[in-house]
Amino acid sequence: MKHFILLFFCLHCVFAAGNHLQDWNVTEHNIVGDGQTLNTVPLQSLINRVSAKGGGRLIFPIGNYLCGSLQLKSGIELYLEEGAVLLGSTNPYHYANEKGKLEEAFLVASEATGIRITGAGTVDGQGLGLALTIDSLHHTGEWIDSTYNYRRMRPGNRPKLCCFTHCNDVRFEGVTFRNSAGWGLSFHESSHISIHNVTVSNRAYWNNDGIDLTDCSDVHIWECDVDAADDGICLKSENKHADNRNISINDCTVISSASAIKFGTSSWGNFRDVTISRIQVKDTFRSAIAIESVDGGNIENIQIFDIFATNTGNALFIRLGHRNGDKAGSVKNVTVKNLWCEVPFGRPDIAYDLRGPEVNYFHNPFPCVISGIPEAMIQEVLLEDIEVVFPGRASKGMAYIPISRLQAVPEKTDEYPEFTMFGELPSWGFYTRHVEGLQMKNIRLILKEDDHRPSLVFDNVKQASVRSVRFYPIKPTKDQIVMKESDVCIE
Amino acid sequence: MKRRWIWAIVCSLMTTYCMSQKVENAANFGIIGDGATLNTEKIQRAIDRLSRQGGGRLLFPPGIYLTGSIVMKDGVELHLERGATLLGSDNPYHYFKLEQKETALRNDNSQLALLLADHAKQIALTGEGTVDGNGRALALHIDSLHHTGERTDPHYNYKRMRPNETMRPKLFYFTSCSRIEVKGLTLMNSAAWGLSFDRCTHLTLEGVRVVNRAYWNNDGIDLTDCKQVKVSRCDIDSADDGICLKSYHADSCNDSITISDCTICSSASGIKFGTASQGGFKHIDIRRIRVRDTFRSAVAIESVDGGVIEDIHVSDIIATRTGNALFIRLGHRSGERPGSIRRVRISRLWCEVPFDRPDINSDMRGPEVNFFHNPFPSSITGIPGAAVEDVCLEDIEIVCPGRSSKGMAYIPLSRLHQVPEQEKEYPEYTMFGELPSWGFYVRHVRGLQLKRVRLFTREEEFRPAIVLDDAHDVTLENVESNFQEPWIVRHEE
Repeated sequence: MKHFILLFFCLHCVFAAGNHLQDWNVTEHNIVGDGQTLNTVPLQSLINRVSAKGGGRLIFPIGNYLCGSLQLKSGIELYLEEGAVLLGSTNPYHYANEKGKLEEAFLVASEATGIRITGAGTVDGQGLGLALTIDSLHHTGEWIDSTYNYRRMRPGNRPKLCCFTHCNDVRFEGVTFRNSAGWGLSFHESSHISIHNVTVSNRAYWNNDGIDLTDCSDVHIWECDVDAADDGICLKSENKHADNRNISINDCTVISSASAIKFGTSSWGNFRDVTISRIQVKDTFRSAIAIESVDGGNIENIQIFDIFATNTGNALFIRLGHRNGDKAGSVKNVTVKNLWCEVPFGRPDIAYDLRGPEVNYFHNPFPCVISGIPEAMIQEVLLEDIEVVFPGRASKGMAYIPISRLQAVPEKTDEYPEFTMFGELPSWGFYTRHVEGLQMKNIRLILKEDDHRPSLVFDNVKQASVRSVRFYPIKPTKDQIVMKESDVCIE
Repeated sequence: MKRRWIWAIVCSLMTTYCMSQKVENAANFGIIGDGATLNTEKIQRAIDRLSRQGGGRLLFPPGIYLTGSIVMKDGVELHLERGATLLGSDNPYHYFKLEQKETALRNDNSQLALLLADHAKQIALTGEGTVDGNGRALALHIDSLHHTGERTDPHYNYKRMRPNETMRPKLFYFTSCSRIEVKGLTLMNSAAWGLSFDRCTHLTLEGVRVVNRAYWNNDGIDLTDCKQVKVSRCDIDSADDGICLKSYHADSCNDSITISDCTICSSASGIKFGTASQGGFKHIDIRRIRVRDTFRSAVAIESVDGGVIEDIHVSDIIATRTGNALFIRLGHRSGERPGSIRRVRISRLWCEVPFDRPDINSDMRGPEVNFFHNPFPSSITGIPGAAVEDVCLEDIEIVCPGRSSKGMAYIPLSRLHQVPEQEKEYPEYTMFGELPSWGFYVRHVRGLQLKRVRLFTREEEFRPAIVLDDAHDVTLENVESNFQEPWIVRHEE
C-alpha cells in the first residue's frame, strides 16, 4: 500500500511537472512587443528550443508582437497576458515557406502534441491588410495567385489564423482570436481538442469562418463567443476514410454572415455522435443550424437542443444531397429539441461590415427545410418543442409555386446545399421532402404578417407523425398542411 | 365663295357641338356594372357607334364593368364617374392585339392591352373612376396555362419563372394616335406596362394616378417615340420604371415632351430614358418631380442603341430614399455606331440614398445584384470613342450612406482601369460592379460643369467623393463635400 502511495505521488510530480514546465518570458529572448519589430525568427527559434527540451510556457507580457507565420511544436504553450497581442504581419512574404508558397496559416502545427494557447491576450491576423496586399501583388504581377477568383475579385490563397493538422491534445483557453485573412481556428484530423472561454472575432475578409473542425474527434468547445463573416462553428469532412466523432459544443454565442452551426459543406467522411446545446445565435444571415451531407458522408446520432436564435435568416436546414462520391451518404437519427428562432423580413446582417451574398432570383421568405433526394431519404428526424417566428408577406407576384405544381421545386441533387438552393418554396413553415421517419412534436409556427402559402408541405415523406403542431395567428390545421405521396399521421 | 365659308364654319361648329354634347350612358348599351358580366362586346359596340356618329362621350356611372380588350376609336371619350371601375378580365382569352402596319426593330414588349388604339384621333379617358387591369390574377392564369400546356409561351422565362411580357396585356397600348387626353383617372394593376403610347402626338396626361404593382415589367407611363407630350400632376407608384421614355424606331424619336409636377415611387427608376434607344430623345423638359422609395435611379438617361439624346432639361427634383441620384450612360448595345448624349442640364436636384434597399416595404421589389459592392455613386459615363458631351449639373445636393468597406469590394485608385467598360451591356448604375468613388464617377465625358454641388456622406468612406477618368473641359465651381481630402481624383490617359 505504501508503495502504491509513493508511486502515486511520483506520478503526480511527473504530471505536475508536465503542467508547469519551465516558463520563458519572450522579452528575454530578443522578442520585442513594439508592434514594429518582426519577431518571426527569434520566436520560432525559441519555440524550437523549448519544444526540444520537452516543452514549456512562453509568456508574452503586454505588447504587440509582430510576426510572420510560426510553426508551433509539441509541448508549447503560448501564454498571452492581458494586453499582449500576437500580431500577424500584413506582408505576404512573411508567410512564405521554403518553396515560396504561402503557409497554410499564421499559427501552424502539424503532428504535434500538447499545444496550448492560453491567457487573456489576443491573436490578431490583420487579415484585411494581408488579404489586400496579396490581392495587390497578384494585380501588379509580382506574385500571381493561380487560384484568383475573378468573379469575386479576390485571391484564393490566404493564410488562416490557426491551422492544426494531425495534432493531439490541444487546448485553447481564454484568448481572443481575430481578423484572419481566411478561416479562423482550423483543425484537421486532430483529436482531444478543448476550446474554452475563447472569443473568435473573424470579420476581416471572405471565408472568415469562426472555428472549423475537419475530421476531428473528441472535441469539446464551450463557453465561446464567435462572431464570423462566414460560418460560425463548422464541422467538415474532407477525407472519406476519416470521421468527425464525439464532439460536444455547448454554451456558445454565435453571430455569422453565413450559418451559425454547420455540418458541411465538405462531407466526404462521417459525422457521428455530435451534441450541440445551449447556443445563442443572433444577426445571422443564413441558418441557425445547417446539417448537410452532399459528398457521400454519413451523418448519424446528432443531438441538438436549447438553441435560441434571434434575427436569423433560417432556423433549420437539413440536407442529404449527392454532389460528390460514388453514392449518396446518409443523414440518420437527428434530434432537434427546444429551438426558438425569429426570422426577419430583411437581411439579418445589414449592420455588419461584411455581409452575406444575395441570391439573384425573386423569392418570398424561406421556410425551414428538411430535404433528401429521391434515391436517398433522410431518416429518423425528431423535432420537438420548436417555435419559429416567420415574417410572412409572401406575394404571388414576387414568386409562386402553386400547390398543384409541387414538382416544380427542383431536386438539385448535385448542387451546393443552402436553404435558398431550391428557389421559391411552396410553404412558409417547413418544407420536407424525401424523409423517412419524421416526428414533429409540440411545434409552434408563428406568422408576423400574412402569407398565402400553407405552413407545412410534405412531399414523399414516409412514416411521419405530427403531434400538437399549432399555427399562429390560429389557422385551420387542414389548410395548413399539404401532402404529396406522403404518409403522415396528424394528431 | 362666301357661302362656302359660312358652311365650313357651321360644319366645324356642329362637329364641336356634337363632340362636346353627345353623351351616351353605358347602361343604354346594355353594359352592366355588376363586376361579373363580361361587357367587352357591348362596350366595343358603343364605342364604334359613337365614333361612327362623329364621336362623343361614353359615360360609366358607378359600378364595376368587367371587360376584355377594347379598341378606342376616333372622337370617343370614355368617362368613368367616381365609383366606376373598368375591370380587366383575368381570362387571357379575352385579350387580343391589333394588326400593326409597321413593327419596331425590337419587339420585346407586349402589344396586348386592355385598352387598344391604332391611328385614332381625338380620344380621351376622363373622370374620377378607375381602370383596373386585374394584372396579377391575369398574369398567374397566363402562367398556369403555360404550365398545363394549354397555351404555351415560346419565350417563357424559366430563370424568373414567369411568362414573357409579350404574353401579358398592358393596361393601355395606343399606337400612332393623335390628340389623346387622359385626365383624372386612377389606372392600376396591369399584367405588364401600364400606359404605353407608341408614336403618338399631342398627348396630354393630367392629374392621373397610376398604381402599377401587380406583376413584372409594371412600368407606370411609357412614351415611345412620341411628340408634343405633356404629363403633369400625375402620381405614379410602379413596380418597374415610373415614367419611361423609349425609342424603338430608328427613324423616329421622342420630341418636345414636358413632364412636370409629378410624384413617383418605383422599384426601378423614377424617370428613365431608355433602355430601348434607337431613334432618340430631343427637347425634353422635366420639372418639379418628387421621387420616393425608389430602388434604382431618380433620373436615368441612357442611349445604348444608337439614339441621339439632345437638349434635356431636368430641374427641381427631390428624391428621398432612392438608390441612386443620377445615371447618364452612352453605351453601344446595338446599332451600327454609338448614339450621342449632349446638352443635358440638371439643376436643383436633391437626393438621399439609403444604405438598405429603398423598396423593402413594397410587395414587388427590384432584383438584387449577385456581386459584392459598396454603395454606388451617381455616374456619367460614355465609352472609348464616344463621350457624353456638355453636361451641366448645378445646385445639386446628394446625401450618400457611406459605410464602404475594403473587405466587401475594393477598386484601388491605382487600378481605375479595372472598372470594366461594359460597352454592350444593359445600362444600369450597378453595371460596372464596384466603383472607386462614392459621390460621382465620371468617365469618357467632354464638357462637364459642376456648379454648387454638395456631396454628403452619412458615415465613413475610404473612397474619394469624385473620380474623373478621361474627362475633359471640366469646370468645378463651388463643389463641396463633408469628407476629408483628397476627394477629387482625376485620371487621364
